[in-house]
Amino acid sequence: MSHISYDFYESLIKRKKRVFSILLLIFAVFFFIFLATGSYRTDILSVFSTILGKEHGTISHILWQIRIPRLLGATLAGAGLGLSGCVLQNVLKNPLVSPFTLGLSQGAAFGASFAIIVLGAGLQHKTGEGITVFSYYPVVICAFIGSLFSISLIFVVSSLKGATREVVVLAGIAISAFFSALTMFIQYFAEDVQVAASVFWTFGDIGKATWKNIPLIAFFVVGGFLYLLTRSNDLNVIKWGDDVAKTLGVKAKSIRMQVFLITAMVTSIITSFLGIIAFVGLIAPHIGRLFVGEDERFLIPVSTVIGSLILVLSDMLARKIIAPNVLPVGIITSFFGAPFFLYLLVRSRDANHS
Amino acid sequence: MRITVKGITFSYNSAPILDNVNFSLESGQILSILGPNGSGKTTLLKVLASILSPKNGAVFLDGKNLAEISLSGKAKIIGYVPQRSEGFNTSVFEAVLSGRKPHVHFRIKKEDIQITERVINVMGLSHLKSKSIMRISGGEFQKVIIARALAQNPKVLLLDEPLTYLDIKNQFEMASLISKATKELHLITVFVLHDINLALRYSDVFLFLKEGRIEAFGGKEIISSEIIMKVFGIDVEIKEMMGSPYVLIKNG
Repeated sequence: MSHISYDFYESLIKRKKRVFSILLLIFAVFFFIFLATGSYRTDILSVFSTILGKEHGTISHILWQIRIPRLLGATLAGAGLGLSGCVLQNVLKNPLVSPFTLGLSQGAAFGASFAIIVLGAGLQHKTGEGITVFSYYPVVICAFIGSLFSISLIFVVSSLKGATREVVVLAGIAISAFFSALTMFIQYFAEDVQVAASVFWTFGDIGKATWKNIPLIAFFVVGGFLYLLTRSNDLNVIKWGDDVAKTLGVKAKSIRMQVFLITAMVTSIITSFLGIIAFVGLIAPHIGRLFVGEDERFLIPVSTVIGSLILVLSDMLARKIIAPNVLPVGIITSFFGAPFFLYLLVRSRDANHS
Repeated sequence: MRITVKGITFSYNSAPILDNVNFSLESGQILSILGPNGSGKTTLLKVLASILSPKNGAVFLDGKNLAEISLSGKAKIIGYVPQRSEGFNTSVFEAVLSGRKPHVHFRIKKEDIQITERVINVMGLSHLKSKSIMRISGGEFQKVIIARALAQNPKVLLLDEPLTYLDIKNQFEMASLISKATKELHLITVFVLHDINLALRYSDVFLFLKEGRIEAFGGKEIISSEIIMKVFGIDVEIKEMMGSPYVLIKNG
């Protein structure tokens, strides 16, 4: 009998592993398609030979200086947002939350704007590719403080007695509005050039990914991912509630704090460099759950890959729609993400009433 | 194993919820905590589970203060079934398997799967293994929760009104199953129960709690209409049925 059951569990796990492998494969395919698309026409074969170092000249320059940083930026930002959305939905037991719907992104955006305009941290200069922000650290640190502020408020609201899922999301909306107002406030008093810079910068745009900021984004996204993956069994257990988690040896409060801290860090690093990218963190875990269920050992990596996939595809779309011009990807993700959010809201209402 | 409760006092603010509670239990014993609503039954169980820390006094496991045992150490000894459980979308098998958490680091071993399977079989849940716990009946869900606590391989099993959502047949099946497990695995089992007759039938030791104080503690011999009158304020008659006392509620 126990032999049969071992097969049962094995096949369950095997199926989830297969789903993950297929997702990685799909991602790999789009990885190369991404590199082959753009206003400068090229095909996948020359992409391969360029990466292998066999081709030089224009194509090599375009790939290494524009498309590859852009692709890595989309991959990392999508991964970080998918990861953050997944673990936030877990610890708050709320399918409606994500870095954007909780106001973490807007808190980070305000922090970064503050650093650029008030502290004069980001000495801007215009280049052919857009605006580059120098002296990263004040921007990143202020962004982190902004998103920490948001998540602390969310923590307080969610621990109030009788705080429903919707109350938490409404609090997130209030926090977003508050930070958006603050951002506009400092923009109002800023000089024209700074306003232009800051407005342009607030748009979520992958084009701002460069070889300079990618390593820093990668450090936090990969680090956060690996750490949370080691905590996945704890995250599985806290879904039973704090009391039961404690009797299973897990301090739910401490796990929740760790998740808040890590998601604030990951979100603020992405937002500081690429701007606000909405809804990727909300959608990715929902798609992930359809494939692998609630087991965080699989849901975390799957949501992360799906987040990357969503952002890579969205950015391809952003480059296609008004080619040769490029739309900020934040517009695309909001365009598709907002209706999905509404759908979740309506569905969650149904669940509350049944 | 022996569990000793010494001078436990607990309160959230000023009014004590538990007031100088003392008793002790040994492996193989089943205790039923009985008392009216708000008498502190759940709080006492949570103190035993180390979910709440007592204000004064301590719980000792074989002479070792529970407060000095690590969280993961306690998790290997104490299994807990709360009054109400939150569900989420996971399969019955994975839900029961999550009880193995204290014994698992990252990789789930063959042993964990075998124990999970055994518990699922014993609880009569085999046919539901792959079903989501959100799509099974309330009774089946409760069985899953008890199975999760058993999969933990505990030495002390604490259950807060575990039979509430079960129908009569399942109540008796579950109670006799827990009683059998207690004897065979030498557990210390503590129930919070509302049904006195179920308690009388399946436990060896009784603890009557009123306003946080122990009114009586002991074996079947302490069951009397006087103590039930004193604790619950209800007039009853104690009958003898199949060698066991049986409580009948009198009219008027």
